[in-house]
Amino acid sequence: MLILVTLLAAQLPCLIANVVRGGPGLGTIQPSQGDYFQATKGGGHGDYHLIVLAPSSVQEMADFVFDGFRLAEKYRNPVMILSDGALGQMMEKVILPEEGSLPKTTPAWATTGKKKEREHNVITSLFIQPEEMEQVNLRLQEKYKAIQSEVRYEEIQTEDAEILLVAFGLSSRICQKTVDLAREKGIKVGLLRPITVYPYPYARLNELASQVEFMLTVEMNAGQMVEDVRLAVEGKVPVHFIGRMGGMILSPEDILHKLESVHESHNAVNV
Amino acid sequence: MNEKLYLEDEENLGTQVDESYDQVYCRPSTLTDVPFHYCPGCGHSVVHKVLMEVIDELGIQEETIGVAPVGCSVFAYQYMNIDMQEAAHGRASAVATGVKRVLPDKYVFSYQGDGDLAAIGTAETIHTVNRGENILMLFINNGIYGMTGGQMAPTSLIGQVTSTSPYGREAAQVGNPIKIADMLCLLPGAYYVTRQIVHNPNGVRKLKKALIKSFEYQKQKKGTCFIEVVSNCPSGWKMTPVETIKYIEEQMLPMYPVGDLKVPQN
Ligand SMILES: Cc1ncc(C[n+]2csc(CCOP(=O)(O)OP(=O)(O)O)c2C)c(N)n1
Ligand code: SF4
Ligand SMILES: [Mg+2]
Repeated sequence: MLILVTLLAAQLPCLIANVVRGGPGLGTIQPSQGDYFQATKGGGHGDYHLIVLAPSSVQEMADFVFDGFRLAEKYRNPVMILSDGALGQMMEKVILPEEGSLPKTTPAWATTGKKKEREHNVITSLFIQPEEMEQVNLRLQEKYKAIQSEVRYEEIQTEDAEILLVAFGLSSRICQKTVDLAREKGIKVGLLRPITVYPYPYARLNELASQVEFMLTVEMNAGQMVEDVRLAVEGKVPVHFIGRMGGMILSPEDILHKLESVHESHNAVNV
Repeated sequence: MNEKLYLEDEENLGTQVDESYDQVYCRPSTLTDVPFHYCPGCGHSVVHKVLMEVIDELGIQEETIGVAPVGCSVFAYQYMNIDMQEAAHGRASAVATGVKRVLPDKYVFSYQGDGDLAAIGTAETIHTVNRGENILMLFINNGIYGMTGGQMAPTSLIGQVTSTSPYGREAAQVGNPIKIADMLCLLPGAYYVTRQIVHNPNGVRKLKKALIKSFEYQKQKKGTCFIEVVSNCPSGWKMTPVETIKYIEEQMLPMYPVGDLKVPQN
């Protein structure tokens, strides 16, 4: 984390792949989404954000390497691919991006040897005067504002949805099956999958809050992204949560049961 | 200025030096105009000056990239007018590795204190040398954590009083002073390892030679060159600069003797 924030403060573009396993500690080697807070909210010191991409397929694991480097270079900010131990070991058909599709340019700020025409380039994360450190922070905050335009998400059967599942990464793959199972039973369920978890699709979730009866957040952790969903809906609809921890994976049926029991309890209240 | 210039010992030698010189001594142009923040008498200032003088003389200002440490010399990049990066504590040789791998034809050096290189950065130090990275590692051994208030370093001497060894360093409790330069000699990646001083003119001249050699070896892509400078810390040692010279000579040098530790084998 020290190194991460050093890179960030020095505004060095880089891509970090976090293939999350069950923790805390040495933990397990099975898949988890327990690092959501660490990836999106910090963990290092100072006010900062990474750009965080959450793939849900092996194809995206490959694509996001390229997208990640492009974003990192564009914003001079570290980018993280937030994956998990299952996606990291899964086998799926992949079409690899074309070789050479990333531009090879040397930015003007790089330390390539001082030229006569310019001042020496210095890459540092040290700003010992608080006035200067504050200015650096203000510039970072401007950057994070600009990064909001990079928000990406995927919607599955949300057009007529009365209930919305919200899940990222592997959990969203499992939720797709739940959507099908629920629809077979006549329950109109949709799914919103954040592709970027920083920046986060707050605005779209807020819109959907006016449409659905409730939301159910599905994660492989104790409930981390659910806080962002609650922030997004601003109390307009109830936001429920189901998750498992320590490397355990929910089944589509587990999620369906939870969904049905919440659905019933809502109806019971409404009667 | 076109005065006649004479050698220091003019009377004895009676020698007049080349009149075409306008100046025999000046601040190396590769040093910026920023005044050093170092305490009076601190070895860091001298090492900075000698290093920049060598870069000037070799004409490699545009070809050299330096990596500064965390420690009193964290701001080395304010003084050295070359492209520089500031690494996290202990990581200078890892950052230098990255720079050199991307720009293999440039000269790259790391500059670190003993807390940085021989405590928190021990792993990076050993593995950089073990890989034989084509860089120069400069190691300023003042036997103390200067920047943070004079705490005991791995290189502090037995019996040395520091803010974290107020009764003197005891081997039974915290181990013996670590001779990291000697250890590094065992690694095949180490091409040239030497220990120098900067508290007298002869030492400065020899350090200069060692620096010139190291850049030459780097050009020839020979492997890692490692220069330890046994230096001082008047503030941390709680001594006047003059007292530190005596301490270096009587206490430090018996433990860390000056001279080449590993020289190229032909
Ligand atoms: C990760 C981390 N740990 C600790 C520190 C605090 N710190 C700053 S300088 C320093 C020691 C410097 O000692 P040395 O490398 O011997 O350099 P000197 O000041 O003596 O030249 C320490 C521990 C830090 N900045 N970062
Ligand atoms: S604290 Fe010690 S090492 Fe640091 S500048 Fe002062 S004398 Fe030099
Ligand atoms: Mg020191």
